[in-house]
Amino acid sequence: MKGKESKSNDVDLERAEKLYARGNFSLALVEFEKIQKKLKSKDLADKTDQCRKHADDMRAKEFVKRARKAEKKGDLKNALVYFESAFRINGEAWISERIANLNKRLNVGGALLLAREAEKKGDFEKAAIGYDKVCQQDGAVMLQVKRAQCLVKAHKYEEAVMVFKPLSLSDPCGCYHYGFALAKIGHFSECLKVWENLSENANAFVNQKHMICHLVADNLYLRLAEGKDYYGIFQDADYLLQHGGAAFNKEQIESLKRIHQYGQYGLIEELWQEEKYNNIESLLENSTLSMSTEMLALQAKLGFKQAETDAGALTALVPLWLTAIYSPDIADTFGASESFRKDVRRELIVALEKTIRSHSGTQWGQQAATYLNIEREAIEIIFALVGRDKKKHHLVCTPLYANKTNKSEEILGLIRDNRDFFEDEQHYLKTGAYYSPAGEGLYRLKINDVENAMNAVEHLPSQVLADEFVDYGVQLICFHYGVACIENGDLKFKRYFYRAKGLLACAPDLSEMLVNKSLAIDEWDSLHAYEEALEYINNLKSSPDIRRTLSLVMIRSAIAMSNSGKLSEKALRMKASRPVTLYSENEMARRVLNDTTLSQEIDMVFDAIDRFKLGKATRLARQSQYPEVRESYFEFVDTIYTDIMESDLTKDEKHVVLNEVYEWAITVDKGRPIIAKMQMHLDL
Amino acid sequence: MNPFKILNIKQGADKKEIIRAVASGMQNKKYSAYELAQAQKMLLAPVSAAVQTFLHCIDLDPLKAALDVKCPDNLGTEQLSELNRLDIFDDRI
Repeated sequence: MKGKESKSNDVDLERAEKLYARGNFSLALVEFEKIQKKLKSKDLADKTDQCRKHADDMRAKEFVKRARKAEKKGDLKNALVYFESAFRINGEAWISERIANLNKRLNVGGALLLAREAEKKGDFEKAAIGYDKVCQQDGAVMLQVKRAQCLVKAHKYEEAVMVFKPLSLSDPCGCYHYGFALAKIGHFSECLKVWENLSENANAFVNQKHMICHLVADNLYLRLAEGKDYYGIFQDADYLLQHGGAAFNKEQIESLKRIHQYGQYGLIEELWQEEKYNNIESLLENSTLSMSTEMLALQAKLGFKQAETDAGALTALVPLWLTAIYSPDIADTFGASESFRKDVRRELIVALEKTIRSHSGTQWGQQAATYLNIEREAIEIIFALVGRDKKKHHLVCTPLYANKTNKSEEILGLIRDNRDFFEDEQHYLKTGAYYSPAGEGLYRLKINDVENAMNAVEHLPSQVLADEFVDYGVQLICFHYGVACIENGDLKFKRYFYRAKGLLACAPDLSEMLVNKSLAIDEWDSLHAYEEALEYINNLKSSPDIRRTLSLVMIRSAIAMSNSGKLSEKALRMKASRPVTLYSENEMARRVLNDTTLSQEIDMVFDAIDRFKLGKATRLARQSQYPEVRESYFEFVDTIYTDIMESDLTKDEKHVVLNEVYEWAITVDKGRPIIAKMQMHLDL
Repeated sequence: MNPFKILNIKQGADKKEIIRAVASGMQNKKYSAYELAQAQKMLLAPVSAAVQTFLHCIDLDPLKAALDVKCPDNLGTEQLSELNRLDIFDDRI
């Protein structure tokens, strides 16, 4: 019996193994479990577990396959059921994620449907809530826009604005509703800015825009009365003037312009209190505010504040500062008396100088210091010319400021009308030149930028060159350019001196400058260049000053040549005579001439003696105007007396020779001790 | 150094106000006694006070006063309640 049962188990096991091998794990499992109940074998238990596992995998795979098929068909509910079944079998994480996703999609779809239905029925509040729910799960921007639009339709404007605000709107419907909601909560200017993106020209919409523009304007007047938020007032007025012009009539636009200006003044005051000077500068740069005395004072103060920390602001500051503090209208605010105003003005210049000094290490600081001197000298003259004539107060300004504000011509007229006021011709021309078109070059010249000064001259329009002030300025620049040419060894200097010839006649300080420059150098080459230049100038336009300068330079040049061995003493004597002819008080030349003539005469005396021409030597010594020549002659006589006395000659021979020398020497100077000595010897 | 800021007073303050401001400054100790004394000195001397006023204060009131900023009669007639939503944009994408 037992053998029969064992045979049956073997058959069952064989069948189960066959099913397992074919991959039919479900049936194999049934068979294995049946046998295991009977045998209770450990090996069979493992096999049964293995088979169960394979069977589960197969089932799960089948569910996933079905779920995917259902999802593909849009049958989300069945897809969910299949995925859930698969998950119950294998518990894999990815299936869990798919289940969550399907659940979300099933919920969103429902909420969206509800929201759409509510919107269709006109229940916008409910629709908004529905869209909100969907948005929370989905987050799509278009649904946010839908929600916000429903809020607008439900008159929930503040809520709508909150929803619209973070969205980047591109569709006209969204833009319109956002702007509308903004307008409804009183944010009119923001509404206009949002509506800027709409290119709709329908009358209804254009009228609405105009209406909002008017509401912005109304609001401006209310805010202005409160005297706060000048920034907002200025911005809104600016916006209306730039974009809302069509909404207003002429009178309203003029009124808006005034509001705009008022807001700007208020804003400037606020920014000044907050010490935001750069912001004020930006504001003024783009502003159309006219230049009143108050604005001039403001710009000067602003420039001063900026220059305290920025050397680059100094150049613009100098003309502004001086024009402001010399302006009679501004100075009236300093105090009642002229002497008090003068004191305040002086202290304000000291303050400017202090600021400039604080930047003295910079190019700007050095330039500003130079410009300050020019500008101050010029404005003081104009200030004096204008006096208390109120009609001319506006003319009190520096050359740079006048140029910037197109007042130069009027000021030049004032200078011409007051020619007698000036110390001399040069003073008159120099003052006018700084206010003339040549002024730019003159400023360059003052900071030793000769190259750009000349460039400025070259670019002057030909029609202004005939003007006396321009002509003076051009000549001055040409003169200095000529000097620079000399210093650089450039022979073009003649061309520039030729252009400056008129000036050289009336500007003694220029030849003085040449003297000083030439006195400061020792090199023969440079001195010779100056000599050549002055000779040229002298030929062009001779004057006592130029002759004097030329004389001084010539003798220095000759001495330098002689010292470097390029000139013989004879040539030096010849060269020294011209400077004396040009300028008889040239002490150096006279001295050189004397020294070289004396030296030459002494040489001639000794030359004659060497050639035993005692008569000639005696005549030269007698006729010379230099006592030194006679001294040298008698030194020789003294020597020859000693030589005769110590010679081997006989007494009679000595007497004859000595007598001859005596006869010549006595004609030169009979009072000499050697004459007495010789006479005594001859008498013996 | 801005004496107006240190003493926390406006331009044109009289002697009494300046001295009071110095006392108040001493109490709140925001600035040193030296700074307060300097500021006081700057504002009590007439020339120096005028210089400091020019340096640190601006006055644009005359410019503002010269502007007529009354609301024109024909403005201010618009009512927000009259602003109605237009449907011309509905469903335009």
